[in-house]
Amino acid sequence: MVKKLFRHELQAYWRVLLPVWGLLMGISVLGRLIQLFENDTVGYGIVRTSAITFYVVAVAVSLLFPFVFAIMRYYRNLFTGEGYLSFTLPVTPFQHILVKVTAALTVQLLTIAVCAVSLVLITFGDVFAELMKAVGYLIPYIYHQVGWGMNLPFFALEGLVLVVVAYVSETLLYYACISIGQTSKKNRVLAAVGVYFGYYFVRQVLGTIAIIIGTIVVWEPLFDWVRAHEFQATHIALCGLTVFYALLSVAYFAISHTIIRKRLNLE
Amino acid sequence: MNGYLDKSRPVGPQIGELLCVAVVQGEYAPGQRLPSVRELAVDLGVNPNTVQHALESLGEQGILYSVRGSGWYVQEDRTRAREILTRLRREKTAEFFRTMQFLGLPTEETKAFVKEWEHE
Amino acid sequence: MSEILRCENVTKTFGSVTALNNVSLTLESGKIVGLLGPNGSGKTTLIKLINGLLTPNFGRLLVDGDEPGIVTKTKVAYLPDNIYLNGWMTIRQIVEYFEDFYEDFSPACAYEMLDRLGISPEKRLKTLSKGNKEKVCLILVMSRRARLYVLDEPIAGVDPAARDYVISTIINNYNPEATVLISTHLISDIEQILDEVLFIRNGHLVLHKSVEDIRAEEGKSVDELFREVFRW
Repeated sequence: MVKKLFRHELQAYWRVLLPVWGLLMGISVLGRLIQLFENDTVGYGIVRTSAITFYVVAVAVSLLFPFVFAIMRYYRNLFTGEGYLSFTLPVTPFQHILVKVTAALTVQLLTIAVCAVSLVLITFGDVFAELMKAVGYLIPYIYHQVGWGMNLPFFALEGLVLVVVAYVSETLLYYACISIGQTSKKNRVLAAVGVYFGYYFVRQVLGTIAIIIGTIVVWEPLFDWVRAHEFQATHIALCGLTVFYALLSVAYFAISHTIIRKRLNLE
Repeated sequence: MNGYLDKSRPVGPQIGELLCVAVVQGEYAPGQRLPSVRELAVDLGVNPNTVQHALESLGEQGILYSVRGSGWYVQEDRTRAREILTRLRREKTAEFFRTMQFLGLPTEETKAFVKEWEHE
Repeated sequence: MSEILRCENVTKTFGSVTALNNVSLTLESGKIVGLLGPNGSGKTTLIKLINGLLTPNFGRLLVDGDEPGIVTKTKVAYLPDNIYLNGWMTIRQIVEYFEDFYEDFSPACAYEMLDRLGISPEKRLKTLSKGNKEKVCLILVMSRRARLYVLDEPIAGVDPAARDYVISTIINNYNPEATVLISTHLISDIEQILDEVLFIRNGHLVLHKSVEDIRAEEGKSVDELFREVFRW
């Protein structure tokens, strides 16, 4: 059932994502073609600059789009008229949320891949070669800066996992806010927005308090240890943050799950 | 829903009456298989279970017989069906004359009235 | 006769409003049952409870022995009172969706009924007229071989010809092992296809009786009795 649900979920994404991706590819190809007419005129300079700006905006929109659409799909597919079908399928609430969040992550990763391909397209040729050269310099530079003792691929992997988990937790946070909003008698979307900003505010306040406490209570032995073991400290920080976001994800998931299981109230 | 059926009386017996007419008038010949319960129910626009009960009741009265897994058939001997239909026609006629009496026409005058009656 | 639905003291409140008040009833398999009551009497609430779209505050509700959940959802075919399908999907995509999720769904049966209506499966749902959208929804639901069909107001707001279509579609696809629960406030149009009726008023179940018994004992049609019971 999860497989089928996932397949149908992705189908719903293709309908909107394929045109977006196609458009992005089109813009990057166009951006590359413009470069064929390279000359020293002011007119060319303007065209080129606007093409690049246009491309950057298109990439930014493409990257944001799956996230926004994922939030909308959670709301529309579960809590509007479509919910009548979704919740009468022989599928558990757990499976519904799981599929929603994995599909959201999948399309986000695919969109990043598409953006990478579009970058290759728009820089195709000499520019791409230069770009690769720059990356070739960058990696030894990082090694040089932080010392050869660090395991760069391992750090990269940890960082990647952290980003993915943070992304999942952020998506689940939006889901939880929408779900909490559903328990309101009316203005459920507005209630969800209220919950989000309320939570955001609380999180900011707690963060600020933590920083203040950190600056007041300077625990020297800890700082000494961090200075002496920079790599271990970074590993711990990355893993610690990952665990923190994972725990948050579980909590957000549990909120949505409980509400759907016990408090579902479609109008 | 068939125009004959009156929803303020049990519909099952009325369906039986309609089927009796169909049998007597040869719409369903002796030995012929009747349409399925579902078909009859759709045709008449009524509940299939009610049709089923009507068929069973006609079976008990010896007007139809059932063959397992095949359906309902008309009995070769249609005497019972004729008797039931005749009795029903008598009842309805008696009812009509009684009503007319209330409307001020005694039986004999009603007969004359009917003879001269033309459908408007 | 096996029991397909059991409600035991089911109560559902929304804030201070009591939508269903201590409702107890059992429905047997093989019946077409009318759930009758004025608008706002609790019909849709009961239907949503059966489908697990709401949970009762008190009491319990069993479909074929199970509380609403993944098991009962394989046995209940539900027609909501609104168009609940995605407009951008083609009819074929929707049929495939049903086929994927419901093991008891027969695509052949659905395509045959669509064909008889002359609705092309390649059309998108949103391009159909309102009446045809409703017919498509009914066809999808009736193409399942479910144990319990729950149809919420299937004939409200449709013209008389469409009403006949709905009624004959229900009878045509009815199988004697299943039970069909039809909610409506338009009784005279549907009473002839019912075995039993449930009268519901202000969240209370006020009558549960066979329609032939009503006709025999009261000498009235269900519609007449309904008008009497619900006279204000």
